[in-house]
This record gives sequence, C-alpha cells and structure tokens, in this order.
Amino acid sequence: MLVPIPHLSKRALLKRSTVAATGRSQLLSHNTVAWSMNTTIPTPPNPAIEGQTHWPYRLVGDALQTCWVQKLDLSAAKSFNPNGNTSPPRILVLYGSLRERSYSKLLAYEYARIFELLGCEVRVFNPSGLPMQGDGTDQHPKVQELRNLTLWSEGHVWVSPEQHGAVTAVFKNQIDWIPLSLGSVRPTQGRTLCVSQVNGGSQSFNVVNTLRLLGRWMRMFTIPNQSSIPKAWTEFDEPGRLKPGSFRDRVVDVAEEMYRMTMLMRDHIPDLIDRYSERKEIEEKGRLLSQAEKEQAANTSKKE
Amino acid sequence: MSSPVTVIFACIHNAGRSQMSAAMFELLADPEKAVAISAGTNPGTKVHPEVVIAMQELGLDLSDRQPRKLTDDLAKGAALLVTMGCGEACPHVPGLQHLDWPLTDPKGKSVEEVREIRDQVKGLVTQLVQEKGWGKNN
Repeated sequence: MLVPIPHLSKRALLKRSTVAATGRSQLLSHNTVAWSMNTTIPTPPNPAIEGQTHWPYRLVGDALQTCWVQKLDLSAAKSFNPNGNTSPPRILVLYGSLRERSYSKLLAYEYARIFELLGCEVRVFNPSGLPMQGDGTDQHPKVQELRNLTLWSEGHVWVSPEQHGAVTAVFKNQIDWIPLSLGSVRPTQGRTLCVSQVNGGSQSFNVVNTLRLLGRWMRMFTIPNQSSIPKAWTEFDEPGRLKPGSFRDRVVDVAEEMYRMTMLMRDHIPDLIDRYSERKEIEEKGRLLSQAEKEQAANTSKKE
Repeated sequence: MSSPVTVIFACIHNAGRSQMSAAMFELLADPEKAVAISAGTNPGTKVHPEVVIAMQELGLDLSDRQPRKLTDDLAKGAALLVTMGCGEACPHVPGLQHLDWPLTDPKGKSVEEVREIRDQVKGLVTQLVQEKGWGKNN
C-alpha cells in the first residue's frame, strides 16, 4: 500500500508532479503543483484475505469468449490522441451499493471492461469495509486505499443507484472520505468524470444531477453525456451482463466520450486548474494550506 | 498494403501452450496479414522438452525458442491477446481484444498427453485464422 503524501515544498511538488503526471522528464509550467502526484499502482490491502482486487470485472474462459464488450469496434475512439501521449489513461471506477447483486456494481464492471478495451489502466474500488466518514480514522486501510487510488487516477467513473430520490449513503460516503485537499495536494482536482445511475423503477436523473454537483465540488471535469438505466433488474441477464439495447449503447457512448475527453485534456490539466487565488496563497504562505491549517491559524489569531 | 496484425499468445511461463500456439499460428497464417508473438508474465528458462518433441512431430522446431517476458514494448501495436486459461494469473494488456483458451498446462505431462494439448491448440489456431481471414489461402 502506498504511504500518504507528505506536505512538500512548491519546488518539490513541481518536480514530483511533473514527472509523475507525464512520465516525461521536461518540466511543465509552474502550475503543475498539486495535480496528479502518484503513478504507482496502489494495491488493495490484504487482497488474498479479503478476496478484493481492483480487477473483479475481468473475465476468463467462456465468459470472455461471449463477452459483448470484446466484440465492440472502438477503433475510432482509440485512435483519438491529439497530444500524442502514449501512456494509458488511469481510470478509477466507483459504485454505490454493497449488495451481492448490485446493479451499480454490475454497470461499473461494464464500464471497466470498456475502458480497458480502450487501452486504459482501470481500477475498481470495492466500498465494502469502508467505515462511515467520521466514524474512524483516515488511517483506516480502506480509506488509504481509496485516497491513493484517486491520487493515482486521471479520470473517474461514478455509478450510483437512486434510493429515495438520491445517491446512496454507500456512494456519498466514498466521496466524503476523499478530502478536497490533502495538504497541498488535491486528490480529485483536474480529473475527468463521467456519471451514471441505475434505478429500481422508472428512469430518473436525480442521481446523475447530484453526481455532477459532487463532481463540481471536487473540482473535476464532468463530461456532458451520462447514463440512467431504469428498471435495472430487467436490463441485466443472469450472469450480470448488460443486455443489448439502447441503454447499453448509451453506456458505450458515455465511455467513448469520457475516453476522448480524457485524452484531449490530460496534458493540459496543469494549465486548466491554475488559479490566481492559489498562486497568490503560495506566494504569501509558501504553499497551499489545508483547511485544518487555515482553521488553526484563524483560532490562533483570535486568541491573540 | 497495410501492416500485418500482431497477435500475442501469452501464458505465465511461455514454455508450453503459448509457444505451441504461436508456432502453429506461424504455420497457418499469412505473415502479410497477421504475425504472432508469444510471451509470459514469468518466463521459464526453456520450452518444455515434451512440447518440443510433440511439435517436432508436426515439423515445427521449438528447440531454439526462448521463453520471454511480456512487456509493454512487446505488446505495443498488437491487436489481439490470446491467453491460455491460466485463470486469475492470466496476463492482461489494456487496449487489446482478448480471447482466453481453456488449455491444460503441459508442464509435467507425458508426451502423449502433450500431443492431445497440441491437437487442441491446432484446432483453436485453425479456427481463429479462418474466422479472421488470416489464412495463407484466403
């Protein structure tokens, strides 16, 4: 498991983030600060014990032979590489239910398979075992695993069920464990994002709207297309694969668009997330302060 | 004419099934249409002797073939990955179409048993080459 990223100087951040984000040796602009910090692939804690890997969606044998994803022609999307960056985009997939036959999980797996065929490095986070936010320490292995995965990622796929008209607690809890900033590092800022939901009843867009709001809050770039699958229990077959039809076609559309957007933006993220107010803070304080440090500074000045 | 498609035959040790598959593919496929690479995630030191004997019977000499590691560079530009039924341990290369053939590992098997595996490999490679139109007479 990766260790948490300590606070680093602006110069150190610049050096680390530039190399980590691009794999190239030349320096990018100053505002590479606080972007993608880590390309080391995190591993789940005790995968042998917990039976958890980041690739539960991979198929073997007959399931692979009959896999509909393997028959897709994605060559048009795959050939889109405007920046000539040949490293595989790193995609993190999150879902929002712990049920054994969770339709958000099944849909998340379909996304993972499509992104892998597109040439991405994909990791799926299993939310089982993640404590409720605030009810435990952020040193919990599942919290560290989630945070390290998002530090590693360049793009996210979020899939949540709609429950009582909103995202599930399981999904929101994952986002709540990802802080807007870890010291000077912003674990989600600048990542691309696509959102999807599954419904037990008729088609709804409450959850994708909420996920967009969350994505904005986490400073992510959410793509325009999205997917909402009504009566999900009728749309997946017995082995848990999405049945053919317009909902499945839409999922492929979303994945292709997400891939293209990620390929388009990935080398420009440092410029796109550059903020005047943050440059000013770095100039004044030497680095970006965490919320806790700001609160501490405010309390200290009150006492004085 | 467009460049040939590259097919990767991969298993863990690259000492048996993937070597047989690649050699069979080279025999049956038109190299202007498709070429084969074989590799493994944890390559062995040599091709299993029983495999060499069984393939020799078909006129294919694997005695000088060396197991090699499946690397990003090797996989670059390939279109299809065929794994050999190693289950969770199977190599995986993002971006490639993926087939998984449920073949028994010939390691420790007798020549007679390896012949059966060899014939299975021949059937699967023949089917793949025909389906894709990569045959020498297509």
